[in-house]
Amino acid sequence: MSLRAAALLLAVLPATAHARVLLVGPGRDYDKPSLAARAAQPGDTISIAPGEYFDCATWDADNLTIIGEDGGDTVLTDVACGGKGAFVIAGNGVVVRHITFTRIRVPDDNGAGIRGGGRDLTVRDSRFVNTQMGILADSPGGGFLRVENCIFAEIGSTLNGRVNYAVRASNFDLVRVAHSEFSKARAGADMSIAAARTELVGNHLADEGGHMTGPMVLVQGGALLLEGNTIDLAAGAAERQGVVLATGIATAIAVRGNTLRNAGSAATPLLRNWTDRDATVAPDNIVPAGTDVVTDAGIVWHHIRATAADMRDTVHELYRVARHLAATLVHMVR
Amino acid sequence: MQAMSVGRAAAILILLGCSAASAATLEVGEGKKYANPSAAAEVAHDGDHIVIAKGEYFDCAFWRANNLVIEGAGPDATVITDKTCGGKALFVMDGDNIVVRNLTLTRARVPDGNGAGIRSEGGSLTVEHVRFVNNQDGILSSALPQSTMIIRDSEFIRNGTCENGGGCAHGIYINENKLLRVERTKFFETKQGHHIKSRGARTEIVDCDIADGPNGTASYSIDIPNGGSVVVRNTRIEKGPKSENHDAGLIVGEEGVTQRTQEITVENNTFTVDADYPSYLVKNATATEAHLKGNKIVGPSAKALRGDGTVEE
Repeated sequence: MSLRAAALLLAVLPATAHARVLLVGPGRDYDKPSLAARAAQPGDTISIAPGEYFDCATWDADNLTIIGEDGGDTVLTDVACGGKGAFVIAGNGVVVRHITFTRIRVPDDNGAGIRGGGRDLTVRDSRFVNTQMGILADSPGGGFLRVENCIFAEIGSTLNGRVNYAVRASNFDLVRVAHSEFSKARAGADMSIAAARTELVGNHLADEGGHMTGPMVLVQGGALLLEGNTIDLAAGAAERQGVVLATGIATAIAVRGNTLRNAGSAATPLLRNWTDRDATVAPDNIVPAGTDVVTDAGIVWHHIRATAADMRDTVHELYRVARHLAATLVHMVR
Repeated sequence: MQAMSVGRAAAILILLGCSAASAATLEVGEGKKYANPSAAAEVAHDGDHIVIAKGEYFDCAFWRANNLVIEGAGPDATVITDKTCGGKALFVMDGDNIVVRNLTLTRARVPDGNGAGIRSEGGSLTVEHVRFVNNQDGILSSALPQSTMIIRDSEFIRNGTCENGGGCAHGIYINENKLLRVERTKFFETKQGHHIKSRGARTEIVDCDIADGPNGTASYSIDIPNGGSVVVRNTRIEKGPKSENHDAGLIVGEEGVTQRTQEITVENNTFTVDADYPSYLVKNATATEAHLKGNKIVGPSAKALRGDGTVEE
C-alpha cells in the first residue's frame, strides 16, 4: 500500500476502538470484496487493492468506508448481487471512494454499479462505465445521497424497454450530485431524483446524440438547486422538454451560473418547470440565443394529464374495491 | 546412474504393459458372460470396453471405473429402460473419461423430477449415437469444473418436465463444466424444460436441429443462465405454437452472470417461429456483445437480437 493510501486510511478511520481495516486483494486476508463484505462490521474500512474483480458484494454493516487504493484502478465487473448491483449497500452511513464499476446487467434492466438501500450514502471519485444503472438508491426514509467527483459513461442497456439512469434516487432528504461527468449514454437519461432537496452543482452533462430519451434530469418535487452545471447537446441530441424537468410539489427552485451549449436546432430550455413554484433565476446563466433558461410552457396540459391519470387510478381502485366487496357479499350469501 | 534410469524406464514400460493388458472387453447380453449392464459395471476396471448386445434391458448401472467405452449395438437395437440407480439415472457415471455410444436410454423417472438417461458426476464424458427418449432429463451433469461433455450424432426426444416443483428437467442440463459441445444432434418435442441448459464455462452447439414441433412445450431452445462463452453455428432452431416460454431461442445470463462470457457467437443458423408470438433468436442479458452473422430469421414475429450486440447479414 502506498504511503498516500495509508495516510488516507488513517484519515478516514472512525474513532471507535473496534473499527478495523480489512485488506482486500489477491494474497491478502480477503481475496475479493464479497469475502470482506461478509466479515465487515460497523465502522470498518475496507481497502481494496487495484485490480479487476469479477465479483459483487452486499454490504450490510453501517458506517463502512470502502476504498479502492491508489496505484491503479479497482474495478468491479460483470457480476450483480441479488439481481441488483455490483455493490448492494444496505447499511447506513457508507462511503465508497475510488472504485470503477462496469458491465453490470440484470434481466429487469436495473443492473447498477451501486444499489443503495440505506441512508447517508456517499460516493466519491468513482467511475460507472457501461452499466444499466450507475447508482440506484432508495432510502428507507430520509438521509442523504452524495455523489461527488464521479464519472458516468456509456450508461444504459435495456432488455425490456425500461428507462435507465446514471443516478436514480428516491426518498432522501437530500440528494447532492456535484462535480461529476455524464457522457456517452447508451440509453435512457442521466438522473431521476425524488428528494426533499436536490442539489446539482458543477456537473457536466453531454448528449452526444442518438441514444438518450426524455429530459436529462427529472426532479420530482422538493427544493432544487441548479448551480454551475455545463450541458452540451450535440446536433443529434434527443428532443426533450428540457435539460431538467421539474414536476410535483416544489418548495424552492434556484438556477444560477449554468451554461447550456446546443449544437442542434431545437431550442431546449435549461429547465422546464412544471411545479407550482416559480424558480429564482440568476442573470449569470448562459444559454443559446432564443432559448429559455426556464419555462413553464405546457404546464396546464401537464396538470390536465396528471389529473386525468390520478382520476384513472382512483377509478381503478374504486372498481377493485367494489369487485372485492361484491365477491365478499356473494360469498356471505352462499 | 544411467543403469538405474534404464531400469526405471523398463519398470514403467512393464507397468504400462500390464495396465494395457488388463483392459478387457466385457460382453453383455442374453447368453453372454454378463446378463445386463449393471453386472458388467460391477466388475469393470479402468480402460475396459463394455459391449452390450441387442436387447431391451430393464436395468440401470453405476459406472465407477475410468476410461471406459460402453457400446451398444445401435440405438434401435440396444435399449436401456425404466430403472434408475440411486434415484438418479439409468446410467450413473462416476468414472472419468467415459464414452457411451450406440444405444437408447429411455423412460427414466424419479420422484424428485431429475431422473436422467445419464447422470454425469465423475468427469469427462463423450456421447455418440445415443438416443434419449422420454426421460425427465436426457443428460444431467453435476458441477465438474475441469471436465468436458461432448455429444455427437445423438437424439433427444420428448425429454423434460417441470411437474415436480423442485425446478425443471431438460433435454440436456449441464452444471459447471469446462465445456459442453454438441454436434450433429437432434432435439425434438422437449417438454416444459429447455432443450439445452448449460452452466458450462463454454458451450458450443454446432450443426444441430432443435425443434419444438407442433406439440413440444419447451421453454428456451438454449439457456445459458449464468453467462459463459457461447457459440451456436449452423443450427436450425424452431419454436412451436405450444412453447411455454416465447422469449427467445438462445438466452444468455437470465439468472445472473456468475462467470466470464468471452464471446457470444451466433452464425449461419435458421431461426423459425411457427406461431404468432414475438421471439428473438438471441436475448442477451450480459454485457458481452453478441455477434450474429448470416442467420436466417423465419416468421413474421421472429426477430434477431434483444440486448447488447450486432447483427450482420
